[in-house]
Amino acid sequence: MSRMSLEGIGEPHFQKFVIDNVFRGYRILPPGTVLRIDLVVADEMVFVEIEDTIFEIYSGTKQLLRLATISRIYNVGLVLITPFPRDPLKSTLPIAYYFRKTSQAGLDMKELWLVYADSRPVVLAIRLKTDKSIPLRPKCSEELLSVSTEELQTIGKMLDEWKKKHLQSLP
Amino acid sequence: MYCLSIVLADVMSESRLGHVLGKMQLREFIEMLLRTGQYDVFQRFLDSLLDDGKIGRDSYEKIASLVVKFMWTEDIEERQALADEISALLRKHVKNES
Repeated sequence: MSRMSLEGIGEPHFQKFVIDNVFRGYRILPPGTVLRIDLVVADEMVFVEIEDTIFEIYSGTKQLLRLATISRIYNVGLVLITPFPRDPLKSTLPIAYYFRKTSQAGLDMKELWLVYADSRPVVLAIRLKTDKSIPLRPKCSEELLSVSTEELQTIGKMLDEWKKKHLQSLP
Repeated sequence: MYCLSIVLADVMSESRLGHVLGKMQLREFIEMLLRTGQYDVFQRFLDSLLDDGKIGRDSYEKIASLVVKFMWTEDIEERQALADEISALLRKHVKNES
């Protein structure tokens, strides 16, 4: 047996060796973070929460906030994905809530994606002007709406206008 | 002033609210939701007023905009002023549009 063999050294010590040497520089979620998996390793990471109604942005936000500390420690971005609202007027409060609560938790790499599915899917990505973009982009068409916190007061109206413009642009 | 006496049962059926909650003043209810950060409950309430035709879309938009401002405001006095404005607007619009 080679003098350099690490066999039998003990899993926590071997994991430390692997993290420091094999995966040096990657983002790594340690054992226990994801059930039944020792490590999650990636160049970039994003936590994704998907809700199928606009109202569920409230519960989706609470879910993501449970990961706030992990997100900050490992510099992981957040995205909450929902369908484009049937009535944009009713989206003002939940969208503002998502950005307010995540900002209060010190999370500055976050977006909200509204998926508009008509003849072809389009993602309207909403991001605060003061935030960083997340290291993940949709593979379908995408439009970015970069907003200030003041503009969140009328985000429902902005979405209504975006929808009208989008429908006019369709062939 | 008649506005101050609006209770929840005036804007929503007691079968949805329950008898005890129906007796709660609209103003107290709104302020409680805002102060405790129960924006989801506030939204359910606002949505039901809109869906039942108790408030119009313009009023809804104006109130939602003020609530967002309330969410982002940290100054206690400013928050109180906004809570008062939201409550007053809601009572005024409910009265005018119902």
